[in-house]
Amino acid sequence: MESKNLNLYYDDFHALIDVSIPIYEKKITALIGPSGCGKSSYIRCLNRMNDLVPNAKVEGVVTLDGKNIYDKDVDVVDLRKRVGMVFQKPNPFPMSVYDNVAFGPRIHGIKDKKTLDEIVEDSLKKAALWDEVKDDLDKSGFDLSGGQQQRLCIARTIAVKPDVILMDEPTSALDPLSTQKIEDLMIELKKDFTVVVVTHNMQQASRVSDYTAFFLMGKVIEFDKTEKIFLAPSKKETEDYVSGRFG
Amino acid sequence: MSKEVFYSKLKNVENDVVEMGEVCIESIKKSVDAFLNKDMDLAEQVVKEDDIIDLKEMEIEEKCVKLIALYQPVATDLRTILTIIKIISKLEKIGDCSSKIASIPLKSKLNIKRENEIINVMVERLDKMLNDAMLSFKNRDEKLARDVYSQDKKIDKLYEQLYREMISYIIEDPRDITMATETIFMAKYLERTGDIIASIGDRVVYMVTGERIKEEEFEKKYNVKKIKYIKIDK
Repeated sequence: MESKNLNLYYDDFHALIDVSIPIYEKKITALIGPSGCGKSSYIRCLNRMNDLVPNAKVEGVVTLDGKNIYDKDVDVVDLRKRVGMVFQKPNPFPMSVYDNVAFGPRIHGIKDKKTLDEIVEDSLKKAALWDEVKDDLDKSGFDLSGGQQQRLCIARTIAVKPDVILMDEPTSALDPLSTQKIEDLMIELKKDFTVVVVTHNMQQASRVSDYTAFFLMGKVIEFDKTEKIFLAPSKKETEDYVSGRFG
Repeated sequence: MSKEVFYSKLKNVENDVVEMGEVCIESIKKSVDAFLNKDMDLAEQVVKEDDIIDLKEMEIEEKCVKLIALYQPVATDLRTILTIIKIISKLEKIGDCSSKIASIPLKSKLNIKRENEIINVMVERLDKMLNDAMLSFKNRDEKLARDVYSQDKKIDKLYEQLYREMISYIIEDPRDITMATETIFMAKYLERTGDIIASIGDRVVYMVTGERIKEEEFEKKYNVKKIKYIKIDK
């Protein structure tokens, strides 16, 4: 996946300015930057979530396997199946754990009970939640803890077998232990998926990601290997931000 | 606010390093004085002062560990703390060299005063090198740090010159063997001190830029653009 000269406008406000970065396959890319810098706007461009925002206008190109996802012939439902999203606050559906995970596959036409059972088990295992819920798949998703709910949402995203998983501050509403579980999970997930994560937590970016993009006022100031960004960044603005001198 | 506290603490640790460097400079000069003038009191003082240098290293290291644990520094801040930990270990080794030089007159049966211009020049150059190293660290001066690194070659040449001179004494008169070998030992510690100060220069360059002079040298030696791993043939 890659964005080239991506610009995003909300009415007159120029939210993203010529963002060109690669998203490497089966790697974790972290997007960091102060509030309002455009990182969440950017991640929403990667599966066209900004289409839902009135007066949002996108210019430039975002390619997935070489195809521009903003081409007119792209089926957005199919795109969002391939590029799934996990949000800041866990948002399970008001239904059972099983149905939460089976929801996506059912929408995409899978009705066979055995196949669904397999997908649910596999997804919950990949989301490191299976052992905690396998005996009670009928209980409501809301009865799980915050950390479990977030992993349920990850399982729901995995269930439709996406290529890319976008995570918008997935641990900001979680306690440190749940955060650690999600971080461990992210590292596991990159064996099968490409992960893009927006985070305010510098240590999280440095712990889990392979590449980091630093956003400031709608621009990408620096994109590089995470170790470079946190050990010897090229730009002063990056240095100041990762060192906690501003932001 | 917590960042201001961090920088204030880091500044204090940097001052500690410069202070430790000054103690080491004095310690080299005193040890050579003790050696040349067979000054036993001064020699004993240098040996005792080595403990102070060792303790200072432990104290600064502990402060660095606390800074890392409590503030999780990254980028230049992290490189600075890592550099400090390396520099104090090198200064501690300079203290060891001084102590070993001071031990020579303490153990020697010879009761002579010596004069040697090469030794004087070596001490002068090491004095300047270590002063420059500390200055480059304090002012984050990459150019000066690179200069410190390159100054070591002059110390090596002086050592070789002195070595040849001492061998000529031995050849001329075997009664000078003890005097000459003691002087060679002493000068070898000075030459080693030069190597250590040069590596401080290398570390300061890393602190400022994130690059290593030694890595650049390896890249030239093996003719590669970015050396990361060297396989060692067993």
